[in-house]
Amino acid sequence: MSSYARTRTNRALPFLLFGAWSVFLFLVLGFFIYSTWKATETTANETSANEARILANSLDSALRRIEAIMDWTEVAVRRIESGGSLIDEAITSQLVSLTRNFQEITGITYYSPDGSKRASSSTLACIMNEDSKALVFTNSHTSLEYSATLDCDETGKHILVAHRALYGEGEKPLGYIAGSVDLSFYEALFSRIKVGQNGMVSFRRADTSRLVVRWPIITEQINNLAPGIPPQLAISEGAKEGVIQYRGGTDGIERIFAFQRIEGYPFYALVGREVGDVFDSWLLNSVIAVLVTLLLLFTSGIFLIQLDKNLNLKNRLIHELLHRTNNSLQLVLSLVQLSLFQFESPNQNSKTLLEVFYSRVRTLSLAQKCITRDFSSVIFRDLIVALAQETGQEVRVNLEPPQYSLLLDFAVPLGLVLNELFENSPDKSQVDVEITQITNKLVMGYRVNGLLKLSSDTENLVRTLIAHQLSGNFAILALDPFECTVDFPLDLYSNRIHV
Amino acid sequence: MKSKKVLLVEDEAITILFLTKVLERLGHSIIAVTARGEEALDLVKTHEPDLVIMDIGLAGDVDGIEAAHQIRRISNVHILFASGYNNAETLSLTAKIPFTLFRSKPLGFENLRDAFDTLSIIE
Repeated sequence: MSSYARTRTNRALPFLLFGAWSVFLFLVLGFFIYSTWKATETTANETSANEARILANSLDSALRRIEAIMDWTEVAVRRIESGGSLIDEAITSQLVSLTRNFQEITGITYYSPDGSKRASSSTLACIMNEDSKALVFTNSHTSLEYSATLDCDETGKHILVAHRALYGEGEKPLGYIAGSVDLSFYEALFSRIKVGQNGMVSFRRADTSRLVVRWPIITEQINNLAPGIPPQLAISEGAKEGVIQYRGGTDGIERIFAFQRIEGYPFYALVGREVGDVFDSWLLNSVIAVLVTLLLLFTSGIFLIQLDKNLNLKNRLIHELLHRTNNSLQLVLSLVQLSLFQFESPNQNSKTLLEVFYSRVRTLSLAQKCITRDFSSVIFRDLIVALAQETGQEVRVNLEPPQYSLLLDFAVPLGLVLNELFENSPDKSQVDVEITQITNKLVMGYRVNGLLKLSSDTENLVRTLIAHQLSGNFAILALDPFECTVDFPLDLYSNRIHV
Repeated sequence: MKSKKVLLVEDEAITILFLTKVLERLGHSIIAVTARGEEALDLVKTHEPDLVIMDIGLAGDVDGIEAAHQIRRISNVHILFASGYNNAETLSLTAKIPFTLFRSKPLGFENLRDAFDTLSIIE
């Protein structure tokens, strides 16, 4: 096998690396998709939960305000009953002042036990419609009671009425007090929350999930009961807040809901976003990421295949070039050998000349066969063995490592020198070639178990090759058995091909 | 060594001349020569050679490896591949065909004698 074949690199390696790169990219893509999905879900949940908390606080604030004003009114009415100096006009004035900056409170009104109005914060109290009258004047509780969502006769807006009875000493009835909450204020507030096309925001009763107010407004759903919906169940089990995903019973839309119980009052806020709306942008980003990854892999795959084709073509061209060079040398050798076949003994000198020529051209051909993958060097042990084989000699090579390569600039002249030594050694003799590298110098020892005679022309060629091409030294140490050394500096030439 | 009948499948005239001379000196005879892989199969059928010396890059559409595969379907004749294409791929392809030997060009006298010796041992 040629040295080229032995040093050939694995062409599959770039494709294996590409496979590993693809797996890595898909793992990164998977991590990206999962982490962005998780982040989207967390952000949506936290956003909805915060919005529910803010809305709940808003209603809580209005109800607390109403409750505090009612407490103050009760104290004031008791003082009037016990002969105090306060008069109804003073209570009215105070109610106006206490509710002035609260748009969500339509009005607070105090009624005597017979139902006549005694004091009110507003002329548009939105209380004295038929529905609210029935509620307020039949309520005997001192704790706050709440109406269903009502339509205000005066404004047409949705209202919620909070009311209670007032008692003096000895459980003497002192009348009723009622406050109305303007639910249109919350409808406007809800409308500013971006919950998407199929999102919704609402306040519901905590006990029955009766719908108090909702955005977008669907009038026919107001006051509908929804017992058993997941947020209400969670609240009935003690939860104050939470995030739950479920499908709406009326519209069948899957939403992620955040709920927040209003502490001390029988209401909770609910903010819901459609699952599709929440994950739309994530889905789009994921699809883009997948497409970009696939495009990246596709283009890098195409690039790799094209690169491999080009490299393959280049390799084939180089091989063809090498093959044709070798073929040309082989033709020269064949021509010389054909000429040699024609010589008979009278032309011995000419024949010898041709044989010498033949062996020298053959050395060049053998050096080509032992060339390394980058075409810069020769596996020198292989060249020594091939030369010995062609010249019919037995050789022992002492050269480490076995794959030691020598630049062509050194290997060709040294190969020609070795060829002359082999050719002029006795037939089928034992030859020892020892090569050692001492720092920047290569030393070759050649020993043969017999007499080696170099003609003056051959010795001249050997000495010229060593002295002029290798800038080295040639020394004959013994004639029989023949022993010589060649040494030359290795820094004379450098590798011109860097792979 | 027994004289062998050799079929030479080679497209290089000089190489044909050279191998003819060398084989004559080794005591073997060339019974037919062709430069085309397509013709090699018919020549094997007709002449029943003891050995086929096969180049790999040939004239025509059928290369030496394909020609050897076709020959192997009808005969177990020894095939000596002789080519300058001594890369790993070529060696691997030729090694898959039984009763074959690969020698890289240039083929010299010693080289050919050694190949014939090896084939005799296989025989």
